Amino acid sequence: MKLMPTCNEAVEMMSKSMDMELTTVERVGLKLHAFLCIHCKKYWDQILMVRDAVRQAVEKQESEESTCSLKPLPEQRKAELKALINNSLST
Amino acid sequence: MPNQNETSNSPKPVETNPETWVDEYGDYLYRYALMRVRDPNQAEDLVQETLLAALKARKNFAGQSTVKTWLVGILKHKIIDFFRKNSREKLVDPSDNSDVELNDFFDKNKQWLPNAVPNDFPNPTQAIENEEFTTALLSCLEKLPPRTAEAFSLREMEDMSSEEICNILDITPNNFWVMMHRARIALRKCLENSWLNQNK
Repeated sequence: MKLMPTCNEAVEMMSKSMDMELTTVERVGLKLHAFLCIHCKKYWDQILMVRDAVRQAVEKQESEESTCSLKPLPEQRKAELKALINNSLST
Repeated sequence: MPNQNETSNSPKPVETNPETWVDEYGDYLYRYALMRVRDPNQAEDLVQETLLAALKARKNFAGQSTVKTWLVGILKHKIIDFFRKNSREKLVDPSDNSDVELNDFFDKNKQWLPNAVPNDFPNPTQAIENEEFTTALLSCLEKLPPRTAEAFSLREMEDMSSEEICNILDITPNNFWVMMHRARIALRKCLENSWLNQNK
């Protein structure tokens, strides 16, 4: 592969670099491309931001700091679940 | 009055009362599942399976962790089993590519198409903290093809390695990277659309 990747190749490598180690050639090519191409650089910053946003949402929900606007368990299902639990406790 | 205090202070074996589980942890477990599987009915079923499994196994709950942590641990396994089952049952194209067409983004010279060029997000640093941004993000996740979304949530929410995910979803490393790339390019685009429109 030539050193300078195309935009299409560069954004593929950006994603790959978030899940695995790139080769040295890929890494250098990607850095070079992102340095020269404003669109791809913006894309890279934004997908990294999306990753951070997902992690923050997960943390906030897990620490009960926020519900992340997710709905609660419907009341009807709650009643069913309680009945189910009480039933199996009494048998 | 003093009697009440004595009762609560007396040493008791660690115990959890299943009758209070639904009220205490129901919403929390449901939201946890909903974030990862997106389908409300499926999330309800996963909560039910979790509570029933916990009921059977409650003798083993030794109180090393909180009840909540213990229940979430069970739910995590149920979610992974559900993804695993999906990948065995559904005979879909493993690359799951129907909804995200990469040709929509690049021209034949592999350059960005004019209408696909990334636009700025307004206030990117504040956006992450913003409740509406999170809502937009989760609804964009919902629009991904199912298996792509599953790969994405195992990777980005559960922080699993690509090897573990390939094993659960029964896909090759190459399928996995393509799915993650499609997920990211589609999510970014979807967020740009909803976030830009909200902030116009």
